[in-house]
Amino acid sequence: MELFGKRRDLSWPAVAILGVFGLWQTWFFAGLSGGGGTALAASVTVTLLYSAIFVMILGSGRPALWRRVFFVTIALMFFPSFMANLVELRGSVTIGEATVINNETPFCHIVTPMVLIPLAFQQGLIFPGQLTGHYAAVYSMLAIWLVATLTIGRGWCSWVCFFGGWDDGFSRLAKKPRVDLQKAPDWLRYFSFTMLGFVVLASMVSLAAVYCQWLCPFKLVTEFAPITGFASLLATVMFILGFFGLVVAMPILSRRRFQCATFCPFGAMQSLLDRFSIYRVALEPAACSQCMKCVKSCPTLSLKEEIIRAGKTAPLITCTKCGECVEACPRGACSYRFRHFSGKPLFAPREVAVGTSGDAGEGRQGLVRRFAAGAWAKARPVMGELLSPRALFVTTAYIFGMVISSGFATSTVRRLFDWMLTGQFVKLAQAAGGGS
Amino acid sequence: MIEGLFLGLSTGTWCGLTCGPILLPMLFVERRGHAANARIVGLFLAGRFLAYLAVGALLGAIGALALSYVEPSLQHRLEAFAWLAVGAVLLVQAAAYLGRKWKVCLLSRRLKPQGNALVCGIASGLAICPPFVAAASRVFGMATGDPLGGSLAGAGYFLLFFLGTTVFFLPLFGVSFLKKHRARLAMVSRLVMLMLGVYFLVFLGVFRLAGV
Repeated sequence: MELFGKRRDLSWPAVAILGVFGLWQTWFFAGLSGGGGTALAASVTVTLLYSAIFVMILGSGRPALWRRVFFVTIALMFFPSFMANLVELRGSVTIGEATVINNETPFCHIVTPMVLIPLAFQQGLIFPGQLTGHYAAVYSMLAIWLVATLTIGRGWCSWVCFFGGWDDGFSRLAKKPRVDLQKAPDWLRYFSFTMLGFVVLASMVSLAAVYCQWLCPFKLVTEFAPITGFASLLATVMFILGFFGLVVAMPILSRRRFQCATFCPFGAMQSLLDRFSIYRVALEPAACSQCMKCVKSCPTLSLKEEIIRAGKTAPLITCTKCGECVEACPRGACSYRFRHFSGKPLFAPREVAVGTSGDAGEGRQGLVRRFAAGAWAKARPVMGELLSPRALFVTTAYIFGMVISSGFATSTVRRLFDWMLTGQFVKLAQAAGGGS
Repeated sequence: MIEGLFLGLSTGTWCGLTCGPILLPMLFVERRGHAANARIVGLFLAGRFLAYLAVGALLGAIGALALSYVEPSLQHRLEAFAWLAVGAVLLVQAAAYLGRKWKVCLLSRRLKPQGNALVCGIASGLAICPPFVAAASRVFGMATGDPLGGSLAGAGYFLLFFLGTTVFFLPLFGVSFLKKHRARLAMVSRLVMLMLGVYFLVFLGVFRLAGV
């Protein structure tokens, strides 16, 4: 596997400026937990790790590969911290009656499409969580989701979601696909919309988050109800089949993010709302040689050969802006663009006569003017790069992913350090006292 | 009695939440004109109206006696049977639509969506939701001991209650104005209808009856 590519979109000065910005932002959020000892070491480790990955996304020439590393890192950092936290709070990762009665179930973004309509029309939350005042409260997650939707749109599904890294990672384990989904039928390509319709309508009727109750494949790596009867046994069987079938087996066999592409209702909702986001992936038919490398590389079945042959200028609405096609295209026909701004790029490079006196004047003033003109001539293309849709999108998406994940990443790393020093990953003394 | 109208208007969002999901896939499942779309919505509402009228008249007639003599679990069972009926109808209709496409289902030419809408309307009218319980409890209170007068008063109360809740179904008459992506929407709706059918039948119907 090549960690560096031959084609780099950003110059080193632009990468350095964005890298320093990323480092500063990451340190701000990863260092929020404060404290010394292993907590400080964990904050420093996460800051350096995340920032290094961010710089590689920007400057390695393999943005899609390093985006995947970032995304898988988020997923792998999430579940140890989440589960350990639950054990410390409740004494177990299972959802007990007390958790439900006290509305202490952490709210994850996938529940969003199910709760929005009842929340709007009945002012009631159909999920046993808390609206505010909890570490995973509904309103805080909805606020992050809303801002992310308006900026990166469905980019959430490739940069922010702390579950997506699982099938993204598994989809790259096999060298060749055993199941060819390149010519998948439309009903499968759009099945996530079926899931969205089903879970929204079924949740409205039953006033419960149906997806969480019966279908979520990620229960295995978060929390689940204890088996107390046939219903909970059936739900557990479905969770297990969902995880190993949709998140592990199918991504390995197809080399596609099968769960995200065909099953996730939240992803479908993001697709529908993506038109409100600032960024999009654009196809440029004039530059396209129809090699279909983009179609082969797309992990979410958002590109079809028919689209390319027909000379369309955008992938399907299921595009998660992962950048795989941008990296795969040998002619730069796939790129990030602003959705509502297609004019001349800001600070586009232009020829500036450097060294000629022109109207710069003579003497000290002329020297200063010539120096300023020369400096601006060099800075201008860098400014253009910094304000390009690609740099802005990648930076924004990274910031969202980092903000969502830095807390639990720091917690996981701190726990690892504690485990190495004391042999304890979970603070069992607290768990015994704090179990509900 | 006018209170029934206001009760319907104030709690109708709940009815929309409960009954809307049954009707929505039926409307999107194939491209129809305004008249055909209105007919489906109208028949669904007519089904609800019939169910409400029957329940109103019955409760008005027997009054508070219902609380003394009717088995407490009847509401639970009635609801489960209503979901069984709705689930079965949706499932069969989805199978017919999908079967038509895949040419495997014998039902495909025999089923009429209008009939299904009526059946689903009746069943959803019997699926007891909190506004329904509120209306029923008011009708209990109105009972005078005269079966005929009580049943008329009960039916009248539920008629106004129905009219109040119907306001929230009016937007569904506009579905036929949606022109974009209708083919894709129909494909998705058929699968949604299939899944909802299974969910209503098994999870809200069989599981509730079996006490799972």
